[in-house]
Amino acid sequence: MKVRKSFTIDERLLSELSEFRWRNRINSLSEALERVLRLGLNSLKTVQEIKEDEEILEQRRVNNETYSRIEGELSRYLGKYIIIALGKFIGAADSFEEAVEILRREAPEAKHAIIQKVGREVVVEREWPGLLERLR
Amino acid sequence: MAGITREVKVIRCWRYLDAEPPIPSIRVEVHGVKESVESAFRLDTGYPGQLLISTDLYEKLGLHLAELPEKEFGIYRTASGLVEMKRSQAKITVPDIGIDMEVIVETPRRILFERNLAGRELINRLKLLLDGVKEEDCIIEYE
Repeated sequence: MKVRKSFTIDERLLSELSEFRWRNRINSLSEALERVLRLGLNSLKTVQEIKEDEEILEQRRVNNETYSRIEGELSRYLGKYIIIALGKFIGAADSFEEAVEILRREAPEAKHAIIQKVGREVVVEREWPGLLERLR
Repeated sequence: MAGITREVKVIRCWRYLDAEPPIPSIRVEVHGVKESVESAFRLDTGYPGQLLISTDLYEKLGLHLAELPEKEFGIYRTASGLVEMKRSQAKITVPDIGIDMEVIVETPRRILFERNLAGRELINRLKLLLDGVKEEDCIIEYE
């Protein structure tokens, strides 16, 4: 049995749903929504969502704002480990161990900190087709 | 039998983890901000990173206190869409065999994860012998 309900939905999400419908030649938007919900609910059955500590989330936000603000000036610390905690730049170190010591000394109450080796390149987006089975 | 004979020195071996089928693994000591913990890591050539650790271990090691900037957190394209990771700086050692290196450790950001994996970026820095018949893997040395 089908039932009629009304929802509010983000405009961009709606256009993605519409694109999904046309790409997969689905008869109606309702049918496309049903298919997407079924896929989503099935994949969520195998995982358990977690919520991080509010204080960590807030300190991460503030520390990352600080990092974005000073990022352009960090080239003078090339090869060193810079430390940001409690929304402040608190120092630079020659090694990871030294960075941890500075953090413990200067911001012992911090719940979140950034320790970043200046100049190191990391790959952000990657393929990992096998992850699904690993989450179970 | 055809092939090349090589002299191999076996440095250290670990038993495969019990599972069906058994899983090759290495024992690694991870040094975080709060603690150091020795744990078994499954060798997973499908995982492209260095170390992927459980949600619990990430917390126990205090890795929230050594995170990379958020814009450098990993994103994996999987069969069911994107999975976001958080990333932290840590050190690993393998007792007795001189492995002492800095690594980037990840754990899924919004999903409970309960395993510890060593991925290709770490595996490719080691000389490893997988002896599936004996169910053990070894760090080796050879010319």
